[in-house]
Amino acid sequence: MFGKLLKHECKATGRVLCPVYAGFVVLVLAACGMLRLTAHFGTVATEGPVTTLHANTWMSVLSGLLCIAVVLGMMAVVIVTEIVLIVRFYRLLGDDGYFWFSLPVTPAQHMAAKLLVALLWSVVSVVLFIGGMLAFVLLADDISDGAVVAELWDALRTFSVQWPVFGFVVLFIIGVLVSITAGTLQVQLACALGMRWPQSRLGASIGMYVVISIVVQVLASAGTIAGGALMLPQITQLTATQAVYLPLISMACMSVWYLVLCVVYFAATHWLLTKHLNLV
Amino acid sequence: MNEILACRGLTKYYDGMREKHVLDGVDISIPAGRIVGLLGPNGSGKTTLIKLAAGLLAPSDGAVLVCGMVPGPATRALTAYLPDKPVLPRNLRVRDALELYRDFFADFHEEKATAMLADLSINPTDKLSAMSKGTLEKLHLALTMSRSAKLYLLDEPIGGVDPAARDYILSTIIRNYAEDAALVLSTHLIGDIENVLDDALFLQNGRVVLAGSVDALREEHGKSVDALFREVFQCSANY
Repeated sequence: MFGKLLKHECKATGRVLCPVYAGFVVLVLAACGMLRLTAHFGTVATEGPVTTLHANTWMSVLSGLLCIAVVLGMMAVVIVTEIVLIVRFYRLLGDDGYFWFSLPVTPAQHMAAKLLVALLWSVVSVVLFIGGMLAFVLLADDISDGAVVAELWDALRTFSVQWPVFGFVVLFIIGVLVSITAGTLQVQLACALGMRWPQSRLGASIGMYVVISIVVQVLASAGTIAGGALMLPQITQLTATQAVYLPLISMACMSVWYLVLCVVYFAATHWLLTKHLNLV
Repeated sequence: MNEILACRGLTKYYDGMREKHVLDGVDISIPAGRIVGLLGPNGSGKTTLIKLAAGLLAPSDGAVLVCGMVPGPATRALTAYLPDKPVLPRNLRVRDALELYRDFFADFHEEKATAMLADLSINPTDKLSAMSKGTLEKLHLALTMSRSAKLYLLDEPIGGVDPAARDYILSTIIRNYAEDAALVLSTHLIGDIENVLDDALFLQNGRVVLAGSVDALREEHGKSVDALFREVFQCSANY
């Protein structure tokens, strides 16, 4: 049953998101193609008279507009993804819930399916975001005959001599995944709490999201201050080689914190959907 | 007696409105093989009772049991629920809706649904977003009645359809429900459904004010259930 739920969730969200992603990819390809053409004709322009300069200006303007569109598209991809996923869960606790909660599926399965699909599309949107940036880096590298990538590679090698890069990358990926999960579950909890005020569910859900965020921020700040004060004597005695691992430890602690939040959010939402489901 | 739906002191009020009970200590028992009409004016608690049995609401007090179980995933597999408004995702086509039912309900008979949809001139390629409210209600009903459920909960199944389609829907209901199942339907259109009902439950202000078999009620009060409804729930004559 869970597999079928995942299938239908993927299909439903994919119907909206896939065209958005496809549009973004086309936009990036168009921008890259236009930049490449502009660079190509730009070299010709040094030899040519006024007419070439005129064509170049238009191409430059078009390239510039396309680049702006790509940057906006990168943000739009991430934002649209998050909005679609939030609306999906919000509507589950509204009119859509009349159908979905009449299926022989547990609330935990509903939540897990929504979470996994949210995670999948969030990762896809982040990959597209990074892919958009990478496309420009590779294009710039191509135009400059490999100078950009060589420079970046050199910087990375220099950095990796002093810092544990592999550990950073692994912890960064784990941190991103866990924080996306926690963010998605926080939205689910806010919507489930908002359900308790059926007359103003949207406002209540947004209010609950803000309240949860404040509580979590206060707890995180208090934990950081307390942890810092507790560890200060040890931190001051660290050698330079040991100190490079401090950011790694901080990132690991942050991931653990998000993991704890995930458990709390999931348990609270599950309890609300099991014991206090109110589809009014 | 094979009890399909039971309510024991079932009470429902919403948060912050404890003084206003939507349902107030309802006790009912519906055995298999009965078609029960849930009758009452607006706000009497009919939809709330159906939602509680469907597991879409949690009781504030008391209990509701479907085939002896508290509503949950297990009872939803046995319950065919038709809400009082179209709730299938509107971005689907009819064939996608059939796929949803096929995937999630083991007791769904697709060939039966397809035949019913053909009778109702609904094509598998039709988009739900382009359908009228009445057509959506017909689609929902066809899908709901194509299941071999133990309990059918139909909330206003004929409220939004034309009188010609009502006859088809009522005959569909009678034709498709089995003797080992129970069917509960709420409606205001009592005259239309009176002949298909075995029992009637009159609800007012969240309480059962009258209950019994339709034949017994007619005999006892010397009038049709429709006329009885108008008498029990008549509005103030001083208006």
